Amino acid sequence: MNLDFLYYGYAAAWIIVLGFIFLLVKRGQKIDHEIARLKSQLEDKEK
Amino acid sequence: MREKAIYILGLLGTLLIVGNLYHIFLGMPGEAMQGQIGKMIFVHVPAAIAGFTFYGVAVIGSIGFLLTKDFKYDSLAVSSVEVAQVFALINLVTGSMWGHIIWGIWWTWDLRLTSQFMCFMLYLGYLLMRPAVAEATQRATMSAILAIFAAADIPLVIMAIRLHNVRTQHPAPVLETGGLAPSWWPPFLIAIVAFWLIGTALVLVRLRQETVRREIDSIRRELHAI
Repeated sequence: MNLDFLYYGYAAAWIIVLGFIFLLVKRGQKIDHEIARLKSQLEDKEK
Repeated sequence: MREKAIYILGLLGTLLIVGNLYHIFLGMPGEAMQGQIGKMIFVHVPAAIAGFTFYGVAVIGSIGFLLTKDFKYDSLAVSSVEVAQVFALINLVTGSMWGHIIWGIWWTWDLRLTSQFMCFMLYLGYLLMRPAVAEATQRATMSAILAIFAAADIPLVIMAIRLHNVRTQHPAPVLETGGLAPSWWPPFLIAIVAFWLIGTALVLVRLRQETVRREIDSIRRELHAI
């Protein structure tokens, strides 16, 4: 049990970090998509 | 340049952690009193130290914004708070598991644990408050004030196990009282450096996103004006 909980603790730490990285990637994709959309919209309006 | 720095810092931090884990799990005996669970110190304490470091960076960013009204500082603050929250959560979760084995309880409302939980909740409030304020300057100003206010809790967390008249479940500061064996110091210090490196890489990624988000806001304004 002693060793099990050590594994759980380290696993939890990795899951939290990887979860945050996953959220960062998703948010980054959303932002990149949004800026591409707005830029094309701006170009269209300027034409 | 920033992309390169992110990759180098992230890779270096990950390599340090992987090497350290190999040493911790396969090359070290358990702690004399606590057994294997004592090795939780290599993630629990470095996570707390990394968390406080990035909260500190957030406070510097917040003061910088209040003094200059430059949004770069606001971006630095919010990026640092998010990363600090990740480390604070690791600290709380691993501490709870450690406590479950050593104390026989998952949680207790003593000063140390409660003040750390409060710190986490205050900065969670900071992150939840930001999207609720539409105007950028107002949002950054309110965030900066809240970040500085919340940081007042950090000395309480640190002092909670050092005050003589406070009884706490949490042990006295092990590091300062020679409680850590000399052979345990290198992996402990490596874990702190690795968390700093990974944390800095994550802050840089978030900073890039904040810069793009500001660009999005300015394009929206431009579109609105046309």
